[in-house]
Amino acid sequence: MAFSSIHGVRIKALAAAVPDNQIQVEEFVPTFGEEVVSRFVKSTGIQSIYRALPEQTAGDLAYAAAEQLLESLAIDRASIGFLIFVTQSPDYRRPATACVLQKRLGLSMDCAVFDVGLGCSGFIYGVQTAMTLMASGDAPYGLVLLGETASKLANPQDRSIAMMYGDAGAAVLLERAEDAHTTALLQSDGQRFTSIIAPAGGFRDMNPDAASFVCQDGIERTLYDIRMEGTEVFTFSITDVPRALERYLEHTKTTVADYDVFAFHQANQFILRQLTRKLKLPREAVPLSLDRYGNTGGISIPLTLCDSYGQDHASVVKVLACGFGIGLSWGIANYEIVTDGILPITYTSEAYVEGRLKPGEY
Amino acid sequence: MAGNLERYSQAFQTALGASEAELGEGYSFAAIDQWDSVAHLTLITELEDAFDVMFEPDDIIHFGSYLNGIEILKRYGVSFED
Repeated sequence: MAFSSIHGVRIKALAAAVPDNQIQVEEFVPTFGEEVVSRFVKSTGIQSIYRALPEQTAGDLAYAAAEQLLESLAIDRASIGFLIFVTQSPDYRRPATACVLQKRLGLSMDCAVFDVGLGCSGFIYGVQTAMTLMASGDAPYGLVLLGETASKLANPQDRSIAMMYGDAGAAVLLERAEDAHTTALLQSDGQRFTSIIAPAGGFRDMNPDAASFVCQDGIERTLYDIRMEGTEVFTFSITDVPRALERYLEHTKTTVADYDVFAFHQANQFILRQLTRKLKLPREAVPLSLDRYGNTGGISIPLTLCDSYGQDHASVVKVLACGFGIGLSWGIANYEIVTDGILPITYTSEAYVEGRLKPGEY
Repeated sequence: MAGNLERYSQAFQTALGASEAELGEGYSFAAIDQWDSVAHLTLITELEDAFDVMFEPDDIIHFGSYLNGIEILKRYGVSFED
């Protein structure tokens, strides 16, 4: 479908939450050695990550962000017409985590809820899907939630992954605004679906042996662990992604000067630097949050905006956002956001313990 | 002041922990275990900083060996004649 444009809907507010459990990358020195860790920091720029507590889920992190957002805006929850939850770390194999979040947030039965299973491109896809629903329906507000706990799928011995993934959640509230206009470019390439994959635990290979084996990159993993074909993903990030950004600017007849901020998926510092140079972007217009939060997948775009503008008030920022990664899947979109609606990042250790069902309880 | 070849080798030592003795014909992405994608990014960063160049994506992707890297850098005006 490539390009789609929506009129009359805008992002009213953004919130992000991370687990109250910061881990400094240097804590991995006993596992990987000083040299590996220092090279990792130099190339990725990641110095710390926040990891979900064992009992915390993606739904919990998204819930914390949503509660902060709804409380601070004093939104009537009955006026929310739909909830989309973007995640690849659902709370259950079924039902959709969006249904659980509907209950927890006290949304009405007139609220349509569903999950979208995307990762690093998920913010762009989720918001564009939500805007389309807003444009075709009558809901005053729509809610997009995102959550990831990808760190739980990382093999602790995997030096390419273990220090990289941070966990986080985010909430985005959409409302109607006559003069708002968003154009999105949505692309995907399923030919490269194995580039980033957790092969087991789904219905293709549900319960295989959990024994570890040595992969082609020399790292031991089990079939349940996430594995990234680093060179392939890196090549994608520095070729397909800048090409798509150039295509977007050409299609929308806009230039770099038309945007205040370039909110890019926080893959790693090297890739962000390549994109900045390739598109000749002003360095200060490409904010970084990955140094403290790591790669948080689809949440990295709203998290970065909350990190940059969470304390800012009353200005309007023209954002060009770009998410790219697992799928492979990538998307670009523009938003104009009043910074009053961008909330500071919250830290949470809460978990929905009653959501964990035990034998004999049902 | 270090010559370009010395600076070039130094980048491999910093990024990949290579010893000077092993840097030569057989030193390649395919042959060296520690030359993974993260190490590759570190190496490219080291080289871009050392020679004040910005590699094109194709050159980053095809920067596959010690010797091939010298040929790539020559295209960016770096001389190894010193």
